Amino acid sequence: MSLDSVLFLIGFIAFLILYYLIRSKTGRKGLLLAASALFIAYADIDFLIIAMLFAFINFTLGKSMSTSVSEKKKRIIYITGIVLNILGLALFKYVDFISLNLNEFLFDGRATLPYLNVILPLGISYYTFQSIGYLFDVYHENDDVEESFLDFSVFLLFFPKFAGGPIERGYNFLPQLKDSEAQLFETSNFKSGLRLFTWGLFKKVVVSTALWKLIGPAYADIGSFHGISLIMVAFIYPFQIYAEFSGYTDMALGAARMMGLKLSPNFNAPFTATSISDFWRRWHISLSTWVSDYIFTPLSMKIALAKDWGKMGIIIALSSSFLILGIWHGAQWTYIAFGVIQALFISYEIMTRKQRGSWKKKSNPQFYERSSNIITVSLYALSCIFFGVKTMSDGFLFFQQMFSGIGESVLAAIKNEELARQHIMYMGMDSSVLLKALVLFGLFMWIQRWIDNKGMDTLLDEQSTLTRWASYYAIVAMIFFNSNEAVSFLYGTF
Amino acid sequence: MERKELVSRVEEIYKEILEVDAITLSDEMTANDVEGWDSLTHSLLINQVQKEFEVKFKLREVISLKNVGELFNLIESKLA
Repeated sequence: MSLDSVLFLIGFIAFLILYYLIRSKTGRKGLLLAASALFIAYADIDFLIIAMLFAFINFTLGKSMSTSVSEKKKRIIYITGIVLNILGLALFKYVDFISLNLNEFLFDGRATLPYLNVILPLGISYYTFQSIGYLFDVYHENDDVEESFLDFSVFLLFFPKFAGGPIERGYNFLPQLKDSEAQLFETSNFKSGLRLFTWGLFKKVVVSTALWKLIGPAYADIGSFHGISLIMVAFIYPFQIYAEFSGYTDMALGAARMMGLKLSPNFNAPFTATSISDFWRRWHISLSTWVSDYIFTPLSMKIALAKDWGKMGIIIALSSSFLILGIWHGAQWTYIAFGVIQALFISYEIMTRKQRGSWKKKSNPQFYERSSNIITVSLYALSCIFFGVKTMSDGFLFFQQMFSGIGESVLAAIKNEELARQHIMYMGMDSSVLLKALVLFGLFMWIQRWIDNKGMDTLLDEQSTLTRWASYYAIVAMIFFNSNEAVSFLYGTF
Repeated sequence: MERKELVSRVEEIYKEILEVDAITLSDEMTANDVEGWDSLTHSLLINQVQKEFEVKFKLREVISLKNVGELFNLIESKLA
């Protein structure tokens, strides 16, 4: 069940009524767990069993870590926990990919290594990472151990974030479940959550769908497009993912806020970034900070504490981190390539830090900032080509097609013989599809920029009652009229 | 070694790694307060601190550091 389905919306209203009718804290947490269980079991009862098993194992490991007196025993439990989570994730997500590639390279494509053909359990990439983070923090004494299994299960299974994140930290989420104040009904929280949820729904259902309608056909049949068409597709794609994923995140954050709970943000105006390192501090923040805190920092520290490798040590740690970030998205070479490209970009930025600093001093600050921003967004868009395709050969084909026939396609679009313009500029569709996508895209980026600068509530509260309500009606009407066209949620498949 | 001398030697390291002309560190300062001090430069700083004071940190000690003051304390505890 996706957060933008009608079933979820109806269920969520019923849930909220019950949630605020129950006065006891434990009762509410019980309801939260029951609702989360229902949400997961609706997809598949096995998914719920697996998630509960992970919750139980990680809860028990955390508890035994805190009660063990010997440092050595503590370390053994900690490492066992990390290994179990990684193995669990690998079993469901990566074993068949490894078998396939080993069979291909070592055994001439014969199925010597078996395939498990298991279905990827919903949310597993998110809750295993949250569990690893929790065990790491408890072991390194950055977080207190959780004493209540009910609270810990709610932390891992909490339905707004279960299928698509954000990847939450125990120390952010768990104390909120214990805080009676946090869960009192507050009109301002409820209103703010509802606004954020609706805005997220608009981004996902209306904007992302309109953009995907425009570029989807090119991804389905790359060979039929080239030149300007594919350049357009490549540059629209990151914004389509942004509309979809930030939309989903806003819905998750909004839903939680309506219950008085606060989830971590995932985006902070990513397209204003002036370097790829800056971009990753603004894009899918809960994943990038997870990778930074639990992989990059320990690894770079281990290297720095043991060896004097200087920047080389950072680059090794960084490359390993981005490789993991890439493959987290799925068992595909294209995701690995996506991670490797990010690592290359950031390694370049580390190596040229001093040089770029002196360029910055010498040039006009505004020009430097603008051009750095354009270069950053363009590089990210090009790297996203591997994010959008299923195979490496499709990725290479995309690049090949994109850089071929640019001049011809410009000429053909100008001459417009045999509906060439329609094929080149609108991917063979009616011009209204392009127009709708561009108008919605402009509207979305314009409003989002305001929201990023001021915050949604301040922005709305500053408006007159008439403007505010007209905006609500317009957004809801657009959601309503586009609701039957929504595309499936990519980040829910990770 | 006096705290004052320790602080000024750490400041020299920060200046070199973060490539800034001047920096004044205080106990409550965190990475958020200093431009250029991010997860990328953090390990270079720690490595240089180890070399400068000829001390050895453990991963756990470094990961649990909350602010600059705690780093000073850690160095002092190693020198004691």
